[in-house]
Amino acid sequence: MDKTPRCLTVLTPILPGKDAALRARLRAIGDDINGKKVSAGTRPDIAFVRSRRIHFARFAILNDPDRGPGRTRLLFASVYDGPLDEHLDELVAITSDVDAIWGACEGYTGVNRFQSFIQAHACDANAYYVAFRDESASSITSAIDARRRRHALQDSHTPSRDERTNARAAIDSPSLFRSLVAATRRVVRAAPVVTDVVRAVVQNGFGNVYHGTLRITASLDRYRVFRVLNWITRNRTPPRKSAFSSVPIDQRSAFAPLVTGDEIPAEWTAIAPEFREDAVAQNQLTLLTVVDPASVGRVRAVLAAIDSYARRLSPPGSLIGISTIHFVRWLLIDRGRRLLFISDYDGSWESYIDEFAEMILSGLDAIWETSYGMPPDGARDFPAFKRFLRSHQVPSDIFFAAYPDATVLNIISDRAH
Amino acid sequence: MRLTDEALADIQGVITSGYRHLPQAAYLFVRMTDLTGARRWLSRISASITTSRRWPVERASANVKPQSAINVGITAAGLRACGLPSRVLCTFPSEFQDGITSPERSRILGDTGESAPERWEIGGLRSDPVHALLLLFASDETNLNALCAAQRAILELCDGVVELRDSMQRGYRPETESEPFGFHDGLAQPRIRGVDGRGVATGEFILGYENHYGLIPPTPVVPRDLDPSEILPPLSNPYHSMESLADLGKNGSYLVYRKLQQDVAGFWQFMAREAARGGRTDPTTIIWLASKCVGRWPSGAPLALAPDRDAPDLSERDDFFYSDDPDGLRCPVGAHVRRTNPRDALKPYPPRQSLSMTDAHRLIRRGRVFGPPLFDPGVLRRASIDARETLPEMRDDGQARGVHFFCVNASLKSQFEFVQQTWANNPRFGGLNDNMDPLTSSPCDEKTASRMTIARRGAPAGAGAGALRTQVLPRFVTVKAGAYLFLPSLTALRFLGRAAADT
Repeated sequence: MDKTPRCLTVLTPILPGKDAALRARLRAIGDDINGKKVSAGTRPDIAFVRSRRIHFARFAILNDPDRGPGRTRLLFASVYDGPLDEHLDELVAITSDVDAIWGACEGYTGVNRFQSFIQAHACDANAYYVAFRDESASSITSAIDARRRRHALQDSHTPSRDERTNARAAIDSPSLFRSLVAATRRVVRAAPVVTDVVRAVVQNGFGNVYHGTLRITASLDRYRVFRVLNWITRNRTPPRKSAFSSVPIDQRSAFAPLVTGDEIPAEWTAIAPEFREDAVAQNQLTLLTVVDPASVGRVRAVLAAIDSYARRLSPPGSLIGISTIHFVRWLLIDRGRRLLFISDYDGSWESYIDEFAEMILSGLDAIWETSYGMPPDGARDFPAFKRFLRSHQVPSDIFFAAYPDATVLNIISDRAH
Repeated sequence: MRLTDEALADIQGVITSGYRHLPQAAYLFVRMTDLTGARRWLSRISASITTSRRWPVERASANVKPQSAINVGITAAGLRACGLPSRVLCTFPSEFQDGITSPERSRILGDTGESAPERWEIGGLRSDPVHALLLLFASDETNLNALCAAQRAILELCDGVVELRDSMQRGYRPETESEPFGFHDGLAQPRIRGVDGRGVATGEFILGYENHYGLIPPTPVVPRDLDPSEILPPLSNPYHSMESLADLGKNGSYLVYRKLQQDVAGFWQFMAREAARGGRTDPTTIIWLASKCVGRWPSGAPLALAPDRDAPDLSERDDFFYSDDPDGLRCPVGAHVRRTNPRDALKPYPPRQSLSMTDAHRLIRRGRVFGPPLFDPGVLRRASIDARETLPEMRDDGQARGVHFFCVNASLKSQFEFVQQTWANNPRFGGLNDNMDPLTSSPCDEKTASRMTIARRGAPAGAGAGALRTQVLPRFVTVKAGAYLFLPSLTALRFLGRAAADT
């Protein structure tokens, strides 16, 4: 059975006039998770700590300009183990007052029909990456607990010299048989790439798949296969239009939407502190951008390529060399008009974006260059690109992480023990 | 591309030179309360500011080095005080506008508890605002005193421009090159490509040039109507060619100042205690442990090249890497010098990508030591009988000592703050679990308790139990003062000295 953690993304319209009260409720729960003291009482609660299946979960309120001025919608995004119905059952079980949260949404008719309500509003991810396909939330947390116990034991007594040097036996060198098994597994996992390509061509057209893929790989010359491919196809990143940055001279000016409906969720300077982007090891990023309608096919093809790579080829804990991502997903929503990006990552926002720019600059362009507000030189105009991201970032009201102190690198080394 | 002589003559000298031949330093903190006086002061000092101009070569190829040097940095509050309106200030990076004491900055820098800006002596939340900082360097104390007196005389002449009371700081470059803990300091400075012909992109340290990403970063600008006599060069950015703007940042930079007080006795007592916990009391083990925390031996020899014992002949070496030592068996991953400059071993990236990423976060350090040394650092290099006496018995003498830390960077956010937040203060740097920078970090509660973790063969520092873990690291370094400063070019300084009023 496939043990890979699954992702759920739900977008439900909020009833007119209910968004302020809903936000206040969500914030109170979110603050609770963040360790702030909130006056307890009759307010609803979601006891995420009791969950055994959830890796990450977040609630955020997005604008919904297509539905009308002033309208909003609720985003619930989670990563969970096991089947969806059990995830939803658990979510109901740990929520003290389901109606108080979901009752603010259109179409919600009570906790008894919660399952079908959620399933009706769930959106499929166009691309989804999981750092560890074979780890559940409980296997990761128990490995962390084991490490903590080891360290606590070690910290509480005085080691002798011998103990220090002979503490751990050398790792067995892999046998030929084992490496054969591993290689076979990799081939079996990679095989469906062929059908992925066929499906992508059928759905998005050959041109979009071909040019989209080339766009992604333009800056991946560090891999021999792409270096050769780029050489054969003369695939290069287009020359810079200017050596200067296109950011406005006023460093604090608000981002002006280029098209109607390009939601600017919040003043980006105003949201930073409560984002806790560096208070713990893990952070989260939710981006909502508007895609140029003429190029949706290309974006779809690019995301299909990323999805196929992430599913079939990526080694544990690494997406094209980036090892700070726990989970990431892209969804084209609103019939392809908007692109939603949801990620759970390690370290500060600045370092996360820096790593992307270093490792897969052309991939960033391939994904977002058709979104309104992307700088003319794309992600290479680094200050303007960061501003583009910041100004399309949606603050979460609740962000839960099951193992908030563990980075992907920590999990890799915990797994080895 | 090399910088032209004209550009070098416009760039403040402290950016390109550490003034190693001028061991004495004084720092004057200035407040400006009168616009006319402020402009008069800036135009007076602009004539005497030391630039990066190449020193003239006398016969026999000996450089004629200046016997003193003067440089000046101005804070955001200072720029306001010398007449810059908010439509100019808003073109500076937001972290500079906020200033180093803002809560957001303190959170990123880890300036909490004992290091919180509320407790600072200078530039803090409970002390007078710093508007400008004069950096004075001289060959000896007599010259330094004369230099200070001359600068104070200029201040006297300028109404409303005053030195903050009892704020003057003294710094020096010890002959041993040792910072107060006893380690050779100031090594591995990045080279500026435009000055040395190789090294890190010029734009990482000087505004107006291409940075690591091949991009000329945003620069503070002035609307042309504020500069009618066209002192400043025009802004050449094509994205803003519609507006008539002048480039205030060109050939300028940003300077970070932090007064870092060091608990030298506490540092060595901790190392001695930890060695004793492992059953050893010999100075060799104590120094070994401290060197593992630093990443260099007291002489400066990098652990990456000399893993087992100090090797003074390697002390100035900068041509070493860590990627062949991913677990940190030679130089621990959490060691101070490895985490503030991870070179080619930024986990888990391939060496080339790592070097490239590191280049985007380099700092030119211009610090000086303050306070008398608590002990002769020579005992460390000899690890001799003296050290046997000195190290375990070290007691604090109640005198303040440490480093006036200065660093030059073109972006406070992606250089100084990045290094501080993502590398130094990050307990999970490079796959570690609870190991912040053992020297400079300030763990303040149980949750952020930091322990130095030293990998042993077969026992990497991550999850295993075999790596050596110290007890919780106490605070060895406390921040006592700080400022984010703009280092204007000579041209910008002349402009500030005569900027037209704008109300």
